[in-house]
Amino acid sequence: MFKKPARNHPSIIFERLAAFWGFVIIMFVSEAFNKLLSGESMIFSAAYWRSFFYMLKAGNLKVLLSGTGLFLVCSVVIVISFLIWRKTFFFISDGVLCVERRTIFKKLSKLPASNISTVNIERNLFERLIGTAKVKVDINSSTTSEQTDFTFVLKLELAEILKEELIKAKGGEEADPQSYGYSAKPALSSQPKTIISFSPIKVITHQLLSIPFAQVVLALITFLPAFLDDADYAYEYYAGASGDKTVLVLLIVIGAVLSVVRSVFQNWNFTLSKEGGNIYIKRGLIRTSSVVFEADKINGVIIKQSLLARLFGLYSVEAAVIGLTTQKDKTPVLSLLTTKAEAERVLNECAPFYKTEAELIPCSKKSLVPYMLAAAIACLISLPVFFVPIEFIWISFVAIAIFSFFLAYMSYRTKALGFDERLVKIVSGILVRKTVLINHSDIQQIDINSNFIVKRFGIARSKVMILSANAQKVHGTGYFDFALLNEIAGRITAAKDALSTVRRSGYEQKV
Amino acid sequence: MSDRDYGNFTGLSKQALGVLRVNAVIQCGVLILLSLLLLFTPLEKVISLIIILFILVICAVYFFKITVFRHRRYKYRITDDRIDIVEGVFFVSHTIVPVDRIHQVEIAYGPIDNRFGVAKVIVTTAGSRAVLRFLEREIASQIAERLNDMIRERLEAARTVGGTGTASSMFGDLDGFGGDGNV
Repeated sequence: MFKKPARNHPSIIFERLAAFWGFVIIMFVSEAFNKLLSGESMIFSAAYWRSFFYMLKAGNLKVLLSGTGLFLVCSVVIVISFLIWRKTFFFISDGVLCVERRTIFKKLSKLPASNISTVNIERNLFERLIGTAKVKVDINSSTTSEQTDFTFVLKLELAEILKEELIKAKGGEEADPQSYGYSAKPALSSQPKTIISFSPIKVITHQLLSIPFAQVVLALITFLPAFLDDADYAYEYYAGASGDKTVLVLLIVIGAVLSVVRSVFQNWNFTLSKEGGNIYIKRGLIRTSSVVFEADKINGVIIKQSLLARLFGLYSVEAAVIGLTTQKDKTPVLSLLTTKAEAERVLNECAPFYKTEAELIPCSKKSLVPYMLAAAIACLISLPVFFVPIEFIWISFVAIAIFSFFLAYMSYRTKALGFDERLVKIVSGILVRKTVLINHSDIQQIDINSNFIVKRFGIARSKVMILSANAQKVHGTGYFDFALLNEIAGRITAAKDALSTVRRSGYEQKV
Repeated sequence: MSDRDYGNFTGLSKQALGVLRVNAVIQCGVLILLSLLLLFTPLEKVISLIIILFILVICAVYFFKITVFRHRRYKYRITDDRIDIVEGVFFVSHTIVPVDRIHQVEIAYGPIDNRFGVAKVIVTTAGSRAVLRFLEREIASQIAERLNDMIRERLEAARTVGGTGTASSMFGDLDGFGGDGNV
């Protein structure tokens, strides 16, 4: 199957124009509705259309902005989209995915399946209703890391078959067209082994413990004063301003709750499984997503602990993989918040190469100087608060000073660095503790940054860059001795490029 | 290596200083023109003039001192396994690109570069991009050619030995990288 040119499902025409259609329908319905209400059902008469085209001919292009005009424009767009759909084909030939557009602007894109990074299936509510699915194909390129390279819309069964054929072509296997028909499920070589799955309670727990602490504090600081006004003031404005504030706070709370609910729905039935060298992630309640990528394509592992998760000793594991544009944050989560033992098991199963016993080196004590200096500058900047004619304003200044110096100290305390012969380990984060593990050979560039102050103390900060989507592309360290950073840079430059087959073969030998 | 230890690094040519100065003139020109707009605001004329004078002084310092310092600070080194670029005046950045990760090398020059006979070599890896700026045109093409040779050698070595070639075997016999391999 897919050896001969195939087309997308026709629903792609409507899906791609969904937003536009919605707008047009509202406009059209409102105009028609208004006219009917006012007794003018002219839109159903020939005279109405004659006058419409007469105005258009007279150069009055404004009529195109009316509901009727938009309807006509949309009809043209639909016809063009239909022609594009009819003239667009895709097929797999000799391990190469070909997408051909035979319209006026002819285009033939050829993608060797070996260059495919990920093949994902995604279904939104509309697609679930009509039984279709999107097959998203991404390549291992940083230039297109923020967008999907190829998207196909097919019937679910066909989508599964296309996905399977692409995975097989990627692995150099020839798919057997007789092995499955249109209605049959693709014949997987073996069933992926489930590594971890999360019950609804665990998903909800994950989401609740992942609520950004800083955001909550900021919201409290912003809205609490509205409710702490003195009694007279509150009484005076009870029916007015205070009432408005309550509505505002309620709206924000509802927004926050909806955001949590949305995230819970996104992670519903989260299941991580593995089959051969492929990692499968399935999740979602209304909008389901199924992601597949090779374990070998992982360019880094990120272990996260939010402030609340730290209280319960829970960890989440993420992987830096390029080409997963179906993921909202572009970083596939290997595991939601779970116990340390479970997180370690997930790591051992999916990314054993990232296991390290490297000892962590805390930030250089000298780094307190730039951090404290930054705090002092923050205090200096906030000095003008003394000119604000409010009693006890100095309390604000003291609060800012304490907060700045506390932040400076915590910045120094929470940063650490570790390395061994294979990996670099970067620890950072005051509220959300983040441990990043990167293979030396996956690091594409290192920047060591200093300035005229820290240079005197022989310390610098560094940034390492990896092949990943923008969110996980750059990882910064705290201040460390030049010598230490240069030693790590030396190890990185000496390591062989991981994009070749070396790492995989090395890993296989190790295991 | 400490920030002061740039023994094997190569500095920039005098033409590069010309480019830096022209760039400074353009930047300062824009800033001065913008500051002149203050004269048309309701701000007191004296205050406006003081601000403009202050900007003029800063521009003069930038043109005569900082440009020279930036030129002196900019250094680069290309060895068998890495490219080092050091730049910056107050905030010094030391960029290290492992040669083994380079995918693409480009030479580019704009109208000002063209006038002064300089060019930039843009080095692209799978996940980053580094630029060697203000290089004499001839040196830029030499560097680009050598880096291209390195990439080609690496790919050939990977093809012949199935990706198990070592860095030393790949870069050991390159012409023009005698001794420590510096350009």
